[in-house]
Amino acid sequence: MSQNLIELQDIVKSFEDNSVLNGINLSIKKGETTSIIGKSGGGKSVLLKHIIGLLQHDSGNILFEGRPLSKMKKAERGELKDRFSYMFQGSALFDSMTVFENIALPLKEKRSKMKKSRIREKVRDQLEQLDLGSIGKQYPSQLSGGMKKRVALARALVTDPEIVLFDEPTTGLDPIRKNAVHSMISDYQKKYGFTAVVVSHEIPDIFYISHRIAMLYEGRIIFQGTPEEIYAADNRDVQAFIRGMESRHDELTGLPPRSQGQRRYQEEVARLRQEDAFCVVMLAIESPDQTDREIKYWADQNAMQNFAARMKKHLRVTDICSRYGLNKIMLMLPNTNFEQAHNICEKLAEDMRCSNDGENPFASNSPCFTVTAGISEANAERSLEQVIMDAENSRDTFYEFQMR
Amino acid sequence: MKAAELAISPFAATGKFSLFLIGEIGRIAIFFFHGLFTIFTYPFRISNLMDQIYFIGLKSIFVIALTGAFTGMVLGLQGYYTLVKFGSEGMLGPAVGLTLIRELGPVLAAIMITARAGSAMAAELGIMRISEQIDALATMNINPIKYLFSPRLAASLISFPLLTSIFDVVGIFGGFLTGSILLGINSGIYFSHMEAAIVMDDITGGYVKSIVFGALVATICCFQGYYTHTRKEGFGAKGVGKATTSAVVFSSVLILISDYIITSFLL
Repeated sequence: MSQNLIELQDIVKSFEDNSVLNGINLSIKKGETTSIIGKSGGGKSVLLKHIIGLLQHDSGNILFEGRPLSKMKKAERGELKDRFSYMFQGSALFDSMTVFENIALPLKEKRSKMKKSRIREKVRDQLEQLDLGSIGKQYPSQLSGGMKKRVALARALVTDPEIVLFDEPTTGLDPIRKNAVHSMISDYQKKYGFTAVVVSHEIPDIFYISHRIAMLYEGRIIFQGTPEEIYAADNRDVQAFIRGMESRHDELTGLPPRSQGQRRYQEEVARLRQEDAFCVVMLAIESPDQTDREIKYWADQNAMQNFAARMKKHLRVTDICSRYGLNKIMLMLPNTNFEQAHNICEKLAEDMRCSNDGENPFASNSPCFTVTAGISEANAERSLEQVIMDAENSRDTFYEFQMR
Repeated sequence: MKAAELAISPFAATGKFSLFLIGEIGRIAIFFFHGLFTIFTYPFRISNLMDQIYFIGLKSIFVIALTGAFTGMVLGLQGYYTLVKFGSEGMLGPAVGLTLIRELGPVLAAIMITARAGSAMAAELGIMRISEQIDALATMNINPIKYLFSPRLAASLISFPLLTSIFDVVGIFGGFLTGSILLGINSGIYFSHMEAAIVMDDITGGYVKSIVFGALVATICCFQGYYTHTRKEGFGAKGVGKATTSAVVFSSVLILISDYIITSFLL
């Protein structure tokens, strides 16, 4: 299906006596988001720097589209580099240049000459898209950490790269901004179809946006596969790591993470008697395509947070919910049939409308969000995946609201 | 075993130091030639060059003029009291002029520019290095040595001779101020003797020196900043501090050493 764009074979790297990478084998597929997880100081960034050639490996091979980098001519490697973009952990913005100049630099210095007016237009577009329109003339030192990250993201994406390497893009951000950056990466990845490699230790948030996960442990890749596969992996180090990193509650919504939802589903199914059924409701918060993208990402996450907080108030003791994706919440309603589940959803929506009227926190000109709900009945024969797929296919709008 | 190790250790240390020194000189030479050649390769970043000439050249004029004036004045003063003992105070003009043009002009100007612009180059590049800005350039397929070092080298090669000329001229008038206006040597004698004594070779020699110093200062200061991260004894802010210190110290020492070497060849 999708071919290996980059392949690392037996990469070894040591700094003096300290060996960091002891034979890395990793393949990165075209058009997918691959995340590299692992302990801090475990060589994740070092690995990423090898891919773009900032560091030279001691031995091993890096293949690009099947051809070894070491056998390429200098000009070829130069051309190849033009297709890459790198977002640094510390943003690495040029602090003696304004935000505008920072973003314009990679365009200005590109080999294929671009007209000045075209560059200006492109940079302005990029600034606008990332909600940075007003700070073009400021210097990086005048910006907050989150803004710097966005400028760095803008600089990485302005050249329309084919491969973008992200080195811990969310470190040091608050939960809303963290999730906003994740959804931004995921959105852009879908929109432009670039291949993304993300180094991160945000578990499980990073699983929501990744197609593939690779885990680095003691200088080797001990696991490669999809997010579903990593939960099922029987490697003890992998399990210990992801269980250890995964907090009991999602930072943004305070809901339990996906893995816990899956565990609870198994438990419920096991407890189920023949004739009983219980319902799974998939809730998704969507913001319709807005012409005004200014606050989209930030507002999306804010909406998610508020919605989850309100929803929790309306749940029964036996109800189980967990965050299932970037903007998805899974709700399990034991001892409830389809009709009852439907009523519960209606009531939920009704209650929310009422609570909104009471508090009236939403301005009339703010963007509109839609919450959709899909209900599906679960029973012992069906796996969670099937149930969820069913629920998602039957989704229906049940609640609309606006946010500042 | 222990005794043998002890006996060898000074030699081992000497050997290690020599190897390090040779390696370092080699690295600096490669850095210099890389920077020099990439001045002439496409793309030419004229505005970067202009920025550097403005910073290294124009912004240094005041400091250079000030030090030049006082150097000339003190030369006039000292020269007068020495020469007057031999009744040859008329030779003050040539004494001041030759000292400035052949020695003090290039050397003092270079040391002043090192203190003012060289330290800034080292610190700026050092900070760019530790905050990964240099790596960021490399990931954008911009050659960092060409982007950062070449304009500084070119600007130094252009600015150093010009600043040295300013230093010389201001110094000569400084000597005139003390020697002629304060101590009463005839101004005609001061200038005509100077004109007669100084030949073109003196001036070219001074320029050769200032060009060499320019290359030296730019290369060492940029090298120290650019490779801050490879220092073993200090990382981060401390590393930048140490890089700046060694940039200024090495530059100043090497200016004096190379001054001797060039003088011995020119004479």
